[in-house]
Amino acid sequence: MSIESKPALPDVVLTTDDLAPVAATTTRRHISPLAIATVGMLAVFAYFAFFFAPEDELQGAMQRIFYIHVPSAWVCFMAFFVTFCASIGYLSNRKESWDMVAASSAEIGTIFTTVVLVTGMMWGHAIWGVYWTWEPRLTSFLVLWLMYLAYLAVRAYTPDPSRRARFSAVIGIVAFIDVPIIYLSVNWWRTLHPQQVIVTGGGPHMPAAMLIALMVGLATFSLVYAYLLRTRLQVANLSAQLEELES
Amino acid sequence: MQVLPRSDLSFVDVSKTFGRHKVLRHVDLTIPAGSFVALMGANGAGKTTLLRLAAGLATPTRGTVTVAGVDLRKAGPGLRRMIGFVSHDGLNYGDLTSRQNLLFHARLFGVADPEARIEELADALDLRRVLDRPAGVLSRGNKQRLTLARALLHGPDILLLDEPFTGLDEASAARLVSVLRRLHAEGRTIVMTVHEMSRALEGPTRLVVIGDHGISVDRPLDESVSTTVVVEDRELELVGAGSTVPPAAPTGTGTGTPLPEGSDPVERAALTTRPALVTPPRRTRAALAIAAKDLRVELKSRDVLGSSGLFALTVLVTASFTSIPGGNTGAMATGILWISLLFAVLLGVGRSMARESQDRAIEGLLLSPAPRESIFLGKLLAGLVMMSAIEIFIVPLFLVLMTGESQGSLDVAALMLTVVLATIGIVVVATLFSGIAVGSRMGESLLPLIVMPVVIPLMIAAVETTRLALGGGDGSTGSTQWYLLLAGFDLVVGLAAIATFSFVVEDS
Repeated sequence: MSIESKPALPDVVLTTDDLAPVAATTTRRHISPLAIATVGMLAVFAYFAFFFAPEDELQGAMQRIFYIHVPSAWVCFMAFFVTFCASIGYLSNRKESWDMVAASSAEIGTIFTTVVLVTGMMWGHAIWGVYWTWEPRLTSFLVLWLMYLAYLAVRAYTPDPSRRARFSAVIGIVAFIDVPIIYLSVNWWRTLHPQQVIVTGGGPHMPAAMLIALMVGLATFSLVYAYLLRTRLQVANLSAQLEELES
Repeated sequence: MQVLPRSDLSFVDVSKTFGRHKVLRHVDLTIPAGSFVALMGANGAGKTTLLRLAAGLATPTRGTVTVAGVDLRKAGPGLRRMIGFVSHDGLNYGDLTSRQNLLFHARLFGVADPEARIEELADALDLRRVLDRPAGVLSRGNKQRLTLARALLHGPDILLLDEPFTGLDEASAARLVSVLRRLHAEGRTIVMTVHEMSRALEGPTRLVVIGDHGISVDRPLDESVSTTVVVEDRELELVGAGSTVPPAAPTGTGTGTPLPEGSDPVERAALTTRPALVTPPRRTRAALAIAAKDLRVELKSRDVLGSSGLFALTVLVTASFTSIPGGNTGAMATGILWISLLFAVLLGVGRSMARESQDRAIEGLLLSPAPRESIFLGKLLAGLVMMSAIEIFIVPLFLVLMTGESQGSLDVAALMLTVVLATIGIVVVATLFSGIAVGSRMGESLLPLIVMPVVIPLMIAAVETTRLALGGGDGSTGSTQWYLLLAGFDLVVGLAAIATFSFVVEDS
């Protein structure tokens, strides 16, 4: 058998119709009910945290940072739990959507961990007299923050999408294992950090008004997390579509 | 002539995407046992991906790949013994000789008499001259022969070759064609990607072309009629002046060409006979084989012991005369000890995993029937042995240089327990994450960034227990808690690492 060559076939040209799905998505302009609810809850939270809750006799106004610090820590744990679950989901079925959820949640969780550390340092300076002390729970939060920076660094430095998703999923799972150590560290090590006041054997040890303000804070910050996660997923989806068209 | 089992290879509605980039779309292809298929297509069409799917090195995003009717995703490690894969890269360890590479793989595949099998293949593939040379210094042609020998060690029923003619001179290429024809004649299934149509006409009896939307051409090559096929956007006229391939003849269960007349019978036997196989090593034995291989590589190169040991030594010596006053047994001195050991581990384990990525040697392990977790356990074991070798002289040196008057109250047992528990934890994390680091754009330099946050609790515990051991107390409640933390960390992170390591080292 011999071979004879014929001229090359013409290249396929990308038309503007291919961009239609992205254009349709990007031109959609409306405010979602979730966004409205989030803004509304933030206003309610501000009232409860700064006006409704009584001022602490010993700590004064600085105690009010507690209503930001604790809900931020709650969202931090929730975000990393979502990352952990989504990472397992991705490794189980390799669906890109799981990777997007894991990465988006980790980004948001990193922001809230930063808030926890900053508010904790502000409170520590006012009450303990130092911005930082190597107390185990503070240290553990710092470790968690560093781990998720590492998570984001691995994503940033791994260009191949499937490899990036696998690598970050493994880190997301291993890093989450540190979370119980953080939680238990309060009981394992006797420290300067205030002992837990919500989850104790004898029930909550705080005035009802403070507890209500805290609960409003938890609900509000959870809503903020949901809104940010949804928005981040939309952005990630658009980026992926663009990447697909460019390739 | 031996009768081979039916080892059909099937792709059913197979798609493969990398992120959003679709490489294969809805591929349906059945390759009956004994076929000799030339696989063609434009660059990026997915030829290599298709072979990697068939080799079990990648999993389809959609659809199923079956070998002998068994879905590769659900198949046990034993099915890997039916497949031999020749990739672009040699999948060998450059520091080991050709013989050592072949011996290592033969053991993983459970070849009953590895030495004899290697001798057979060395004769058949003209490897004898280079058998005792390091694989890293071989010429392209010799590397290709070594790769083929590795793929044929266990007498696979299916041989997958990814552009095997690349870089070969005409004589080597002709020899490879001869070898492939013989294997085909014995009923082996051969799937080979090629870029040049002329290569597709030297043996294969079937041409498959992958286009943008799946299989675009699938036709026999031994017809005598003229036809036109489109390959890589070019129309090629196959003029039916009679095939250069001898007519198919049923031999064994295959449908391939008969052996060329006058072939050396010894050579024929080595290439076409299935070697005696025993049960492949299970988890522990496979892990030991991998650890022994790592240590053999280290003995040849001395990379890890040299770089890591000297690093730890330099840190300790520098710290002892720059910042640590004599007799200081506090957290600072012990902290320096553990920081130096941590970085020694990172350097050593990172280097060890980087060796696996050279020539894609790790894929040689993934192709073997060794359980995936045994790869992790083997590398962990080798890392622990290497670190122990470093700690044997670093820890006593630390005691001499930095503990001063407290040496008299040293609790040796407590110190050893600390060293063992902390080293296990650090090497576990470093082994798991080193696969991630070397697979990233930053390479090994990313390793400290991702390992250190995870091991900080471990480092704190190690520093505290070392300090307590130097103070002579190991029975206090405090030290027990720290030891529990060390042991708990090792257990939990170790199990997580075993469970997730295969996701790190798999290609896609």
